[in-house]
Amino acid sequence: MIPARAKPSRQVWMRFRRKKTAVFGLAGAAAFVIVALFAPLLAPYGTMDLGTSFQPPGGEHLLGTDSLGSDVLSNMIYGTRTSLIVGLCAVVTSNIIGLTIGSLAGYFGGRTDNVLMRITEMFQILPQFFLAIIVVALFGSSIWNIVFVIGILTWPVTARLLRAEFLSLRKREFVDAARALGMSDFDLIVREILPNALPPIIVNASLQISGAILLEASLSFLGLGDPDAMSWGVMLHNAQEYFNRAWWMAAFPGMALFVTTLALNLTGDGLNDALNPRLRT
Amino acid sequence: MAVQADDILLSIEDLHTYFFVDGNVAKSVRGVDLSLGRGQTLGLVGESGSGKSVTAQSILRLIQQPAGRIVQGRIVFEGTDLASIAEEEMRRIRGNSISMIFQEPMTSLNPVIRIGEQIAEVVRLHRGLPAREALDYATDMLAKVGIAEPARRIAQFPHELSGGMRQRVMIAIALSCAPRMLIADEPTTALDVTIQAQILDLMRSLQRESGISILLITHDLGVVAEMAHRVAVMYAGQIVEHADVATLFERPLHPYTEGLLASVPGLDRAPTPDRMLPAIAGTVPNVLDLPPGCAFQDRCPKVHDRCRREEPPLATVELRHDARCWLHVV
Repeated sequence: MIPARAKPSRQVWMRFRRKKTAVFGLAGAAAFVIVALFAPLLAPYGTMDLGTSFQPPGGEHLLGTDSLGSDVLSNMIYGTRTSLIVGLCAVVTSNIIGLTIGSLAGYFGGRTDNVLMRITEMFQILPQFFLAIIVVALFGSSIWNIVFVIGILTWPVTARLLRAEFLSLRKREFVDAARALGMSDFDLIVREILPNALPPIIVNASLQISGAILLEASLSFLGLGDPDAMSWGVMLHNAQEYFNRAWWMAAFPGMALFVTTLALNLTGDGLNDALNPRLRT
Repeated sequence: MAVQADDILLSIEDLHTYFFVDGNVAKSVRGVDLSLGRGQTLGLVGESGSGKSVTAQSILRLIQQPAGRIVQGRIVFEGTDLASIAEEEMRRIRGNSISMIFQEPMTSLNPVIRIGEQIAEVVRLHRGLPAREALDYATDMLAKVGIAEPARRIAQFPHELSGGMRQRVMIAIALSCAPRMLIADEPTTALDVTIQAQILDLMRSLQRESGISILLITHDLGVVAEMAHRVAVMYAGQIVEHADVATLFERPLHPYTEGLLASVPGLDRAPTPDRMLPAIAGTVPNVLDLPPGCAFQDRCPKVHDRCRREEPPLATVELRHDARCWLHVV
């Protein structure tokens, strides 16, 4: 049992910790961030250190070398940086738009809500992958274009979640009480209501990161990734031609992608259980 | 103690607040005149739907938007008509010159913000105190409303406090900017009787110290008798009787007030199975569809022809004692 008097943040951690998969997910996510931060220290070779092509795993190159002779393990380690940057920046972009639209729609309601939600729906019906391909094809395949596309495509979910929270929270008595103390609409939205609406947004954001990483990998796999940035998707793309000769070129980046998204999803799931008041025991 | 004109802090003149819903008009407040003297407590009494809360919300312009609107009247506070100033000016008055405490201490505090911060943010907003000083000030305010270990309490969240303590915190927040007026909307209704007495004591002693004026909204005549100097009884959006508290309890003029007083159990006339407490028959008329004449006609034991034809005016029957009833119009 969790003592009711513990600090809320501590209560969340205690609930989170009860679930083994969540702790496993968080450990995986933490490892992913650490690898990305310390990539130059961890990678045995640089991405441009070319040796013999197609060396199988083992020996000097733990996970083998690719068609150009660069080290697969090192490329993967540097690839975490691209994934992390894309994942985080895309989610930040998406949430800036989503939080603004969602809170305005939910707080003011009525016509504001109606207009903003119709706009949101327009973005929701955009065929995601298709739009991503068009933007990258038109504006070039830099990481930032990919971040922008993912941000534009994923904010509607955040907006709708937040709107729903705001619609119920704005009727609560503490909001009336704060208004009676002279707070402006801006104060009420940002200081009073938003902190109460965050749990589902946090959960959603952790799931969005893995979605963004997958979308970046998918684009890169199709050859639409940033040619200047090493990423798992680019590695998979390069591996296509050599499936028969060098399975390791595809297997290890694919596995990294799988493990990372799994870890992030488990973290999100654990956060959901820990933060969702309806599931509390 | 007669209230002089220059001792008036707030005067409401002919206030009409209506709600426009689906093409219908709910006339919740229909021509209310009230005045509140400095350092005085005015009890505003009435049953649910009588318009007492809407009157209070009109003062701070917190009526539910966009349906509700002040359609007529003036609310003069220290020479300013609150009904006509800009929203931005109104915000500077809320929580600063006029504060309000609500019925439900359990839900009126923000559940995710620490107690100290909830007091400090109001002081920062209206007084511009730096964060550190605002928090020190919050600690002082908690001590002032009788909360033990204020330094520890400021770091706690609302769910860690009892109902009585939360209402003390609400009072601390409301009084933190030293307002001239406090609107207390059923401040003790949600509390049990012993805590209720403590909170009323606290409000009285704070009033003695600071000379704040209190508009006390309640349906509890016991609370009014204990707290108020003057009492206004509201029925169907109008004031039906207005008097000093002792006068009202001794010589009620309006049949509605008589009925209200008779329905309170007293020690000398405790209800028994064969001697039921007298109740006022019927219910409050629908403010969407009021009958012509007196709003109380269908429930009034003394109703006569004129009541059904003409609406009685609020007439001064004796010194400082007004009633809205044809029986008392000379």
